[in-house]
Parts: sequence; structure tokens; C-alpha cells
Amino acid sequence: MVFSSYNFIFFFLPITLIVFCFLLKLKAAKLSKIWLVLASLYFYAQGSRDFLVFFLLIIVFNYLIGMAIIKKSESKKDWIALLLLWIGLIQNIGLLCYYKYTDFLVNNVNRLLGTDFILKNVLLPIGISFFTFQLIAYLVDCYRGNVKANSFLDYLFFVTFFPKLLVGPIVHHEEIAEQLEDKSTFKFNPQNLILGIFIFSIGCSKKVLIADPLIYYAQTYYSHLNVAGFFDSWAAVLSYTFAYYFDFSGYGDMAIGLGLFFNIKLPVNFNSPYKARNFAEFWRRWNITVTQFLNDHIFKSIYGFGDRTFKLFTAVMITFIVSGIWHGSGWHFVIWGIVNGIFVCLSFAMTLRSKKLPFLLAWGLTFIGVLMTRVLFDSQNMTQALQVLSNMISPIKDISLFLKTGSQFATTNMMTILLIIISAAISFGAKNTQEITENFRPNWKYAAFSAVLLTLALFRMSTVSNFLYFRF
Amino acid sequence: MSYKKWILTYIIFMLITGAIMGLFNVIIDPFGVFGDSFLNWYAYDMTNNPRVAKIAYLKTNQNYYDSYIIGCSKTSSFSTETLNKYFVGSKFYNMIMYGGDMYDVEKTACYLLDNYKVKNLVVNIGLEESTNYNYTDDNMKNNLHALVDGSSLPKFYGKYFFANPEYSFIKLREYFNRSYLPGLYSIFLPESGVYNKIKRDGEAIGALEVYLKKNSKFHEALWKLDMHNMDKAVESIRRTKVYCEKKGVRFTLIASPVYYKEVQMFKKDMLIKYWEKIAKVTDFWDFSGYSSISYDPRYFYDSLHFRNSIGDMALAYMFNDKSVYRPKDFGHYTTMENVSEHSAKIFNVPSVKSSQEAYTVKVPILSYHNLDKNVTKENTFTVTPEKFRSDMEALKEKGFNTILFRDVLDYVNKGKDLPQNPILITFDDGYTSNYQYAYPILKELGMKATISVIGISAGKDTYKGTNIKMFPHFDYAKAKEMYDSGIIDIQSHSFNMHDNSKYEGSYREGVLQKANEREKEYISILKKDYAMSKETIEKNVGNKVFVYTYPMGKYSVLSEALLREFGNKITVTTQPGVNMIVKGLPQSLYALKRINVTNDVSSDELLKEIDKYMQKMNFLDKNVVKLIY
Repeated sequence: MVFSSYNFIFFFLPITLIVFCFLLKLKAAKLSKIWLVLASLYFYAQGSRDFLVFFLLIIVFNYLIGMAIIKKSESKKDWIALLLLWIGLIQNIGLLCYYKYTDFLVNNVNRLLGTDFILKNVLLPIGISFFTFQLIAYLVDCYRGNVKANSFLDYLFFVTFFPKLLVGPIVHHEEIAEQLEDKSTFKFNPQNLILGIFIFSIGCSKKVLIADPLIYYAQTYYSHLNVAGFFDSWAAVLSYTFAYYFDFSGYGDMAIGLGLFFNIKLPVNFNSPYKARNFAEFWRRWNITVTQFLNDHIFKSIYGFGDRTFKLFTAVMITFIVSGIWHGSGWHFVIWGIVNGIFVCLSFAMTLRSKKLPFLLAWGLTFIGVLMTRVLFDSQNMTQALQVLSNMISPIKDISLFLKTGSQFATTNMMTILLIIISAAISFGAKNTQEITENFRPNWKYAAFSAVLLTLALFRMSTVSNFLYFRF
Repeated sequence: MSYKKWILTYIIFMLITGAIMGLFNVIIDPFGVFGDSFLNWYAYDMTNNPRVAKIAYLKTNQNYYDSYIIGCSKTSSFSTETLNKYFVGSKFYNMIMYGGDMYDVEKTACYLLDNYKVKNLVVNIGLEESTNYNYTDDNMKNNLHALVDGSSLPKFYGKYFFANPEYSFIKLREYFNRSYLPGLYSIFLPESGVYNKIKRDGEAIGALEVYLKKNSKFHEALWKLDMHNMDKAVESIRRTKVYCEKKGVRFTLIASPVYYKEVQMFKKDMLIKYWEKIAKVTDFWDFSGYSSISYDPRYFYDSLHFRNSIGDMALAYMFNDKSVYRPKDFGHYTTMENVSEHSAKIFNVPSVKSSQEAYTVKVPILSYHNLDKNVTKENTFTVTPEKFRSDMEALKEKGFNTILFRDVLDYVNKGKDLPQNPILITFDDGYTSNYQYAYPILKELGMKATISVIGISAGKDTYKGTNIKMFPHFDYAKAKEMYDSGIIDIQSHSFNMHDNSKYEGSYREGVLQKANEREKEYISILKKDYAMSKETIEKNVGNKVFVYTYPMGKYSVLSEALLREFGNKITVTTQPGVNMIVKGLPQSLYALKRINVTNDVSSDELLKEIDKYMQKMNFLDKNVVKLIY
């Protein structure tokens, strides 16, 4: 069940919210937590029903490990705590690898050794990439002594809370636990409710009105790559580039809005990444909580303050290669990680030498880098990625023919071009959702703005099917 | 602002936006459910969802129709014109619904019987009705109208009111791109309910192999189907029939002609069982199973849809119209008494397949222009009278029999046989020399020829609007004299669309549309010119004009479709080759090929050239037989 669906908006959300508010009225804080945990599990089951029990087992297992780590750290038996931490890490990473990379490994082994192992076609349980990170962060927090009160119910709430369950943001146990201890969390808060409605509406419209049609265009392009040319290649890559931002950050906005419905503040995950003027900055603005996680657990475990530059670069490269592998199975993801790592190293090198490019040039180069890495990310393999890139830089042989195909392309793809222009204007020039939210006043303008956006999104949510006539 | 007021404002703005969007859907009306009064483009709406759009269309055209034919997409090949001809005094509407099964048919029939004055109800079935019953996989596009299936009306209209506006956007986009030929998205003719086939039916068809190469899907194996809904389908046929009887409406059941591969989709025993069950419920007109029609893909648009001309054939069989060609093994009136024997026959793969020779003929057409005793090297279109005489004598000696276009037309439409080795002689433009030299030679040899004349040039010897000399053209008095002799037929070569690039200002390439000409304008010019040419000839000569020889041989998909619409039966080009004419296939009379005769080719060489094209065709034939059977 995605947030931007009729089922979620007209069925799941109202029921969850009404019962929640009712329980608040009864001052039943514990019951309302239990209610949200149950609702979250139901929400999860809608996506991966078969995996639900397994999911619960993993949650309980990690809780037990976490408890044990805390106990052993208290009694100063550090090596046992460390051992327990590693057991937990191996379980989480192992599971993630099994689900995400089995087919990839089998494929590569087959290719290398000429063997003929059969692909298992492992079905990915939804959200596994995110909740695995979340659980790892939890175990490390336990080990580092950052988890204080560790009630099972609060822990369950922290892991399962549906607004952030499937695609983040990744939160630390304490961020949620502190809010759950705060009594005001369980008082009906109208400010939070209307702010939640406002942010959810914006997020939903970002995804449905902008990201979805752009993704559709780009996917169609990728499935007809053999007939692709210069203009549609650019349009498709730009589409994907903007679509990923609007989709992902739209989803993040919806998560934040939904969190507010239940008086839970979730961290911001995107901060106008396409305004970045170098790659290090880009990654501080894009999927912030995941970057933070990789920074905390990989980068910082290799590089300490004061280490030599070489170590810094090594740390960056390793972090990004892991990031690439985490993002998906396939060699092009590894290359994607390496290229990103190199770009980040370059920007670090510039900063270390206190060199600064003029703003436009820096921003332009960064965005081109973003486009290039986007191609690596979205292609199914390296050959495809290279094909798309070569389409984009194919030299112009005949100016008049070029202009003709250009105008032909423009007339047949007006909607897509318009959407790309709008997305560019928003991503480069407009305030992002948090900035808009900072100025939020409960007046009619904000109500009208968000109401219109959500209604348009609702109209666009139903799928449009092709002409059935073609089958007859 | 209090939070309650804020939420209220929010809801009000949602409602306003929703109302605006909904109104947009109502005005553009991509499914035609709201009456489509703004764009009034049901051709599009019916393509989106024929089930709901046709019901809405009938509502806005109350009681214009009094008879209905209902069924799956095959049903579209029964033209309402032909139905009206045979069901005398009836006004038919074709309720074809692509993917329609007996559930759709019965519900629609009951709705029509309940709400309209109905005289005749014809139900047409294929074979697939025994598999699918009440099958819907798209809630917007192949669902029935709420008025028909009795579901909630507010829910029904609400669904289209709140539909994704993209449907409306697509309709708007296509509306501005629409043209005379049916687009991908406007495939219906709302007035009769059938598919708009002016393009498909205007397509020239000749040799089988060429057709198969162009339509390679005929080779593809079809999937297998079980017949698990056989009983439901039969029961539904029974209920529909009973309801018709109750309402005093004439009920007719037709079983569609099918391509042989479609028969193979089902098990033979099951088909026989199905047929026996149907016959228990009602007698029916039976064109299904294996026949000489079912084995020739040219009689089909694709593996699942027979052509309109086959629909005409079937109706002619039902009404015993002997003037329409139909093969002997096509058509049967199946009853409870004869069903076992007949179904065993038609669902059994025949041991001997009828050969193409029984219903096809190869016809070469020669093309001449001017005749003159003095022929210069540059003017290759002119031949000497002696050369012409020698050609004719050579043909005669070789055993060729000259025929006229009406003979070919009768062969196709009525199945009238042609003499052995038929050949057509044609002259373009209408030169006086044709009258002076060719006419007496033909008379003497007892041979026939067709002259296609340019209307505006008749009786002239200067280029139009100039004083520049050209070869003189005969006038209508001479034309009539020749026609009356029975030797010469006079047909059309346009009235004034034979521009000569050298002498005429606003040059048009034959009948083709000019680069910057608006389609509407072009159509009206061609229409007027054709009518003018036809009327002038018919008035002055007293014959029927139904052959159009393209000026300079230039033609297009649009010109082919248009001439057919204007009532023309045969089009002739300058493409070299011999023609394969097929009984029951009017498309084999389009874009006919001709062998052009020039003065530098001796009569012997001409015979060899004809033979070369004939042999090529023979070769194709043999190949095809292997290919398909």
C-alpha cells in the first residue's frame, strides 16, 4: 500500500487516525501505541504478507540482542557485548544480502566459472533495505550506550511506525523514544494535524503530479532503447533525474506529514539536493538520513579526525561502494558508487586546497555529474548505461535534420517537456517543502494551495489503461 | 484561523477543485457517457468503450433504429447497409462490442428490447463465447453501461466524473490530430456502430504470398482455449431468444465464418457438443468451421476477423441472393435434425482442400496511349498502328481473350466465370488516334478494349488554357459510337486532375494531395472531380463508370479509400505486373497493375514479358500453398 493510493487515503489512514484520536481522548497512551503498532503491521502485511511473521521474528531477535548488549555493557563485559553486536550485525547484513544479492551472485558465479546454478528469483520483502539499516543503527546505539529506557512497546513502535517503515527516513531509537516519553505526544494537537495535512498534500502532489508521469516517460524510453535518439535520451534522463527527487522527497514529505498526524516528528530527508554546488554537498542534501547512517557506521569507522588525506579518500570510496551495493544488485551500481566516490573526493580535494569555482560553473558541473550518475543508476546494466550516454552526446551531423527532429520531438512530447521545465524551476529556484512549511500560517491561502494540489493528485491516482481495442 | 475552520476551508477547496475537474471530464467526455455534446465525437468514445458509448449514442438518437445486430468484434463485418437491404424496411444498428461475450450480448439485447421498439434482433457468435462469460478486466473500458447491467447509476456516472483527466487530455489531443482516415483512437462509425474500415477495405490485395508477407501474423499459432463456459453461453442464447419471442421480435442467430486456425483453437469433440447444444435451443445460420473461405487468409483482416465482403456473402446465403458469389461449401442452416451430421463435417479437417484455381484468376492488363504513324524516339508512349495490330494478332494467336472491366467485376462480385486466358487492353487519355486506328483494328479482330478519358480534354487539341498543340482527343460523340459498338468501354481518367508539369501552372501530382493543402479541401476537390468525370461520361456515352485509371499512376492510401467511398469499384495504376483477381474479394480490384507497351518492344517480346509476370505469379502460388496448408 503506497501512501498515494485511494486505499491508503480513504481507508487505512482515516481509520487509523480516528481510532488513534479516540484513544487519545480516553487518555489511553499505551493503547494508542499498541493501536499504531497493529496498524503498522497491517500496513506492512499489505505489501509483504508472506514475510510478516518473519519480519516480527527479526524484530524480536534484534530486541533480545539489543537488551543483552545493554546488560553486558553495563557489567563491563565489553567483548561479549561486542560479540553480541556482531551476531546482530551478521544476521541483519546476511539477510539483506540473501534477499538482495543472491541472484546477482549466482549470475556472476555462473558467468565466471561457467557453472549453471539456477537463479532463485528471490522475492524482496518490502522495506528490507531500510528496516535493516534501522535495526543496525539500533544495535550500534545499544552498544554505544545511546539507548536508555528500552521498553518493548516503544521499541516495536520505533521499528514499525508505518510512515517511515518502507523507505525511511532512518531514525535512531532515541529520536522516537524521547517523543514517546513526552506526555504531549499523546494529547490531541490540532496544529500538528493541519500541518500534517499541508505537508502530506504537498508530498503527495510531488509524487503523483510530477514524479509518476516523468517515471512513466523514462520507463517507456528505457523499454524502447533500440529506437532512441538524442532528444528523447535527454528528456528521459532529465525525467528520471527530477522524478527520483520528486518521488523520493515527496514520499519523505508524506512520511513527515503522516508522522505529524500522530504527533511524531520525523527527520527531514531531502534539502533541495539539486541546488548543491559540489558532490559532497549534494550528498548532505540527498537522502540525508541514509547518508548520515553510512557516515556514522562506515566512513567514521575508517577515518578519524586528523588522519591523512589518503585515508580520507579511502574512507569516502569505501563508503560509496557500500552505498552503491546497498542501492541495488548489479555491477552498474558498484560503478555508480565508485563514480560518486570520485566526485565526492574531488570536492573534498577542492575544499582542502580552499579552491572555489564560480557558483554557476560549480552548480552546473555538479548537476551534469548528477545526470551522469543517474544514467548509471537507472540502467539495467553497463551496456545500457553506455548506450544512453552515447545517445546523449551523439554529434550533430546535419543541422537542419537535427532541428527538424527536435521540433518534431517537441510537438509530440509537450507534456513531458513542460513537466521537466516545471520540475527544473521547482528544484533549482523554488523553496523546498520544509522552507515552505516554516512560513506556514493556518490561513485560507495555505488551505487552498494544499487542497488544490491534493485534489489534483487524487484525480491522477487512478491508472490510465491503454486502448483495449488494440487487442481485437 | 481555528483549526476547524482551516480544515473546513481545505475541504471546500477540495470540493471546488474536484467539481472543476469533474466538469472537465463531463465536457470532454472521453467515454461518451455524458452525451458528448461539446465535441460530439462518438467515433472516439466508442473506441474507448463501445459498450457504454453506444448505449449513450442510442439515447441521444432515440428511435432512429429499429433492428440490432449484437456480438463480438467479428460482428462488425456485417454491414448495416446490407442488413437493411435484406431485412426489408429495417434500420439496423450494429452493437458490436470488442471482446463481447454472451453475457454482454444478452444484457444489451434485454436493455434494447425493454427500452426501444425493436423489429429484428440478430445475434452473431464466434466460437470464443464458449470460453468467456461475463469477462471484464478493465473497469472503465470494457464494462457495460449501468443502464444495461443494472448496477448503480450514481456509482457509474461518479466513476467517469472522477476519472483521471488524462483520458480527457488524450481525447483532446487526438481531436486536434484527427483526419479523414480513421485514427488509432477513432475506429468506429457512430452512425452505424461498425468499425470504420475505409482504410482497411481500401487496401489492394492480390497474390496470397504478398498478402501473407504484409500480414505475417497469419502464420502465428493461436492459443488453445477450453470451452468451460459452453453451458452458460448456450443458456444465455436461449434466454435471449425466449425474451425476443415474448416481445414479438424476430430473432436470428448467426455463427460467424472463422479462419481455419481459429477452429484449431478448440477441441473438435467439444465444438460438436457445443453445436448440438446450440441447435437444441435454436436453429441458426451457420458459416463456421472449415470451408474454402476459412482457408484463404485474404478473406480475413486478421486471424480472428473475417472481411466485410464475407459478411455480405453470408447474408446473401441467408436470403438466397444468387447474384452474390459464394462458394458451395459456405453456409448452412443448422437445425436440431441436421446438427450432428453438419458439425461433424465442418469441424473435421477436410482431406482435400479446395485449390485456389477455383476462385482466382490471373489477369494481365496492357496499357497503350497514343497511336501515330510517325513515332519519334523521345515519345515512347506513342506506338504505330502497325505495331498495335501486330500486338493484337500475337495475343490472339497465343490464345488470349480480351475482356472488359465489367467482366472482372462480375467475376469478383457474382462469381461469373471468365474466358480462358483473359486479358485487358487499356488506352489512357482518350486520343483521337484510338478512334482512328485502334478501334477499327479491334473491330476487325473481334477484340475489346477500355479507354479512360480525361474529361476536360475531350474534343481538344491544345493544352487547357493555352494555345500549345497536343495530340488531339476524341469527343463524346465518337466515344458513344465506340461504346455502342460493344467493343470499347469508356471509363474515367479524372475530369481535370491530369496536370502536365510543363504547361500547367498550379501543378498537382496526379490526384495526390498537395503539400500544403488542407485535407478537407483536397477531399472536396477529388470528390467533385470524380463526380464530374463520371457524370459527363455517363450522360454522354450512356454507360456505367466504375473504373478509375490514376493520372500518371499516382495514388495514395487516402485516394484509394476516397474513390471507394465515392462508389468507384476498380482502380488502375501504372505499376508493372499481372493481377491476381479473387472471387468474393473486391480488394483484388484495387490498384491494378499494368504492363506498359512502348513502340520499341516487339510483339514477341511483349508476349514474353507477359509470360514472365505470369510465371512469377505461378511460382508464388506454389510456394504459398506449401506455406500455409
